[in-house]
Amino acid sequence: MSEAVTDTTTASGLADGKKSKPKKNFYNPNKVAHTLEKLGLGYFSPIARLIGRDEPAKQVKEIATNTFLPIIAFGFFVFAWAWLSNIVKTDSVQIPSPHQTWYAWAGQPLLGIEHPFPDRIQSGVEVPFAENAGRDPKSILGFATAEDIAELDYYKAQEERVEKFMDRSREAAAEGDAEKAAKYEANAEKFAEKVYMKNKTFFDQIWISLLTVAIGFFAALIVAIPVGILCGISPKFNIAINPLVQLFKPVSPLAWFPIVFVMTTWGIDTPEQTSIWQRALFTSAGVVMLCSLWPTLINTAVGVASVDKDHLNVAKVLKLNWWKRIWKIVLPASLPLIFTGLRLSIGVGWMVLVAADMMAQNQGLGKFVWDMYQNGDTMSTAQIIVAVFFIGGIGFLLDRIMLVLQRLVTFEEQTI
Amino acid sequence: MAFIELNDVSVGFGSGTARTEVLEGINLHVEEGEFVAFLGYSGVGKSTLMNLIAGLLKPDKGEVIVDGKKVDGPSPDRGLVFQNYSLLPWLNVHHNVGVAVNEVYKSEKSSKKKDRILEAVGKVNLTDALHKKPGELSGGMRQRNSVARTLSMNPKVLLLDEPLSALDALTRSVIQDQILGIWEATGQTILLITNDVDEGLYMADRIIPLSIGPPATCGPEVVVGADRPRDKKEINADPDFQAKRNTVIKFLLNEKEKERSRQDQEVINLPNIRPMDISRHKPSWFLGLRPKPKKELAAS
Repeated sequence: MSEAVTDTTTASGLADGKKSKPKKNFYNPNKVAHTLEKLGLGYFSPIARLIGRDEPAKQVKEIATNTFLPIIAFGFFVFAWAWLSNIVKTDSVQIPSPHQTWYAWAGQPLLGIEHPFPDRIQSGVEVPFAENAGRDPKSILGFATAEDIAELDYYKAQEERVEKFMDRSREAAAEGDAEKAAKYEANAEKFAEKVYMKNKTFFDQIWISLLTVAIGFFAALIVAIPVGILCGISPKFNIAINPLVQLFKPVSPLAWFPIVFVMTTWGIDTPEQTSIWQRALFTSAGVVMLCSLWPTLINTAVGVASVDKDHLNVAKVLKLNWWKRIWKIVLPASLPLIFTGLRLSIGVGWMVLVAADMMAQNQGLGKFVWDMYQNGDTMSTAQIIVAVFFIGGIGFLLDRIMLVLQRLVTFEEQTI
Repeated sequence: MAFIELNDVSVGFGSGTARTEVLEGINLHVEEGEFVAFLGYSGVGKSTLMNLIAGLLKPDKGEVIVDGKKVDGPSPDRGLVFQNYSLLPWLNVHHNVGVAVNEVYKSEKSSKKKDRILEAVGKVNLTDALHKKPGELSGGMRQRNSVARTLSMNPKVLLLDEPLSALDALTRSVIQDQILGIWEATGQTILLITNDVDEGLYMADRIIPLSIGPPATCGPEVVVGADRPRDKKEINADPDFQAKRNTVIKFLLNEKEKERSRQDQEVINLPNIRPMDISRHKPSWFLGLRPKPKKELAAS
């Protein structure tokens, strides 16, 4: 009896199994983890696996390792930094402590710790820098806040003024003095058009830096990829160009600056002061371009020259014309190496940028560092350290973006 | 006039003192719809022969005529299947075939082109893997993809350059039968290069062994002449077939023997003088480490 029962259940179970295909999992932790890794977000892949309940103990351990080890290392770094800041001190300069650096960023001391800049203490005030949302206007965030407030105030005053002129104009019109009314109205319009000349805050400078690097990088790309392709295709062209490449590749951005400066002075008219397309921006971008050109050029040339001969034979058998051969075979085959070059290029470009900005007085991060270095305030070295963290962080992000692009174009090589 | 003719073809590589003749005095006649296999040791110039017929190489002497026209560069009429597949790794099966179809049938409508691609992929039973890239395919599937690309051009001649030598034995026999099936269905002329005697005998109408060069020439051909479809077990038991197999193997072994004796002759006997050791005295130890005796090295 019991046997029969078991038999039927097994049979029906089998039949069910045949009818309904094995359920496809809605959430495939391995696939998600793999995608995350491909996108350069490998840190999150154990979390994705944990959500999918794939060996949870192992994932927790991995997440803990990936999280705490860097935190511990960073802790040691901050500790060593604080210790060093106590030692490296003269009457006029010192290495700012981590707390001072924090203050230079946020404009507010951390609670419960001694004020990092005693000269910035406002005694007898309930809320220090209350008019500036509680942030020291000399700090980075405080300065940005102050600028925002100043801008708001400016436009408020402007509105009032415009309104006043319009009132007078209306009054004059009521009195029947059309000429006077028109004059007042013109005055009102003149005031309404005025724009507040905002000082560049740290964040504006970051955007300008990114813009500069983008211009320099794309200019480099437009030159380097075609020249690299020609070098890779034609050995004769390569022989001709190679000495120039080798000669100019090691040149420092500081040496390129005066030459680029001459060229931009000659080629670009002085723009309006309010425009962001300042001549200095192009000078800086030009220096970035001249320095970031080479890795892309060389990698493209190598990539194109080392395209699999079999792939070229395919092109021959199919009788592809020159353009199609480049476009359909040579370029896709060398894309991984081209992108390796681009990644190196953007790294070089970002590194060169600070120096180029300093020389060209472009309103970017380099200018910020330069201004801080020059102004001799007690807080300025701390602000430079904040800038260093930002420069590093943005450079890291740029590299990650390029890494993801590089991985997206990289195909798995055939293995025979 | 035969469909494919090679008249006294010679080809060599390099120039000056570095020149080697690879093929010399090749005469070959292949009829339309015939299946001919070339057999030979690796490195004797089998692929060179294929490239000559495909038009990737030009003969230094003599001429290659296919379908009444002198070969002057590659053409989609002569479809070459490469030994190492030569698929474009960034394209999937569909697009790898599409590269060929789009080029050969430029003027056709895109729906027609798509039909051609699907037909070619269907012929090699690869429809299930249509959207996979070469990196995700097994060796056999890659080779089938490569065959599909060539078939999609509807070539008059199919040139198979050791298409199966990189595959395992089981996959190999599956693809052998697939190629035979395609040949029977289309009636194309097929030239196959192989280094496997049994493969040649199983698949081809005629076998032409190549001598060991350089320069290599065509050996005496063997007409297989067994009825189709052939059964591997049956033909292996057939004494007539065995005799043919022995003829081919004997020729190849004989060639190897000849090559050895030729090399023996070429050795120039040097006077028996030992050169003086003018190198400086070698230190018996380096960085304070005494070199281990050879016995110890072998043991460790």
